[in-house]
Amino acid sequence: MRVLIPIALASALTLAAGVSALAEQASLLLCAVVNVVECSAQGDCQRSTIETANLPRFIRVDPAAKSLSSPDDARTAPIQSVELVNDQLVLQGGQQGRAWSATVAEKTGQMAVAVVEDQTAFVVFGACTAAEPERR
Amino acid sequence: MRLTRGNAGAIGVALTLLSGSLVPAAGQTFTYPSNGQSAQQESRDRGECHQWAVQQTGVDPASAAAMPAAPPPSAPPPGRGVARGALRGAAVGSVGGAIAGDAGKGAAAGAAMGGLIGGMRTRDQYAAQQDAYAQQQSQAQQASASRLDAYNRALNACLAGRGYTVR
Repeated sequence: MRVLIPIALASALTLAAGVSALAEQASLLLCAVVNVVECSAQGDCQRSTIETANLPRFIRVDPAAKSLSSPDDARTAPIQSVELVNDQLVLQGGQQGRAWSATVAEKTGQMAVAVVEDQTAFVVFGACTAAEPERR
Repeated sequence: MRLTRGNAGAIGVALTLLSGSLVPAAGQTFTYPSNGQSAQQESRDRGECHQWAVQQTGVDPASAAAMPAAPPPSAPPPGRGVARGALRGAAVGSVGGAIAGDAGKGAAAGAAMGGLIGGMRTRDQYAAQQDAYAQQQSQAQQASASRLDAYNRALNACLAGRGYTVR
């Protein structure tokens, strides 16, 4: 039993590392932002717009480089974790006092993002497709 | 002459025409060559007085009018990747198994100004920025009008000094 526990633990860790590595190898994605909803700490949610929320229309997701970037301008955001969970690419990160989590469905490309800070939460919906690496 | 319904109407029409076409617009001035100056002389005087007024006030209405207005704060510059991104966006929905594939070359990471997530804006923040921009524009317009007024006063003073009646 004493021998089995470390082996099982090592196997589990290897498996987890494998899944994480697989997720990080996911290809470059280009995601279109479709809907933005803003919720306040008072409990009311209202539709916002891409312009009002100061979001780019398209977001480039690079799991390998662990970065989000806008093709329109130089804005970027780091990705802190990338995982594949039940056919969903799950991304998480934080920037300037905000935390965010996103899922991208592997089969449909449907994207949902939640961005939270102390008094406000944004929920962003969109869709992603595989993108070619940027040629320089 | 007795005022009848007919000629009262005619007078009303005449007054309307007067107010619409002959009364000068606010800020508009007229100069009259009181000393019988020729049109050529008047043109020369106007040119010299313009230069003098520009020197005195530091305002040249011609160059002030050509100055572009500052863009609103929320207008991002159009980027090189927008059209290409739009084309790819049209293919949304056909991802299939493409997500788990070869890793692409990464886009430049690093902290850009504002940040993609950190730079997001609430509706209240957006409204406050729009108000601040409108206020800034209004103040700029007032300052511009004030400078133009100074120029006009200097020009009129010069023309009056050269024997023109300015109204």
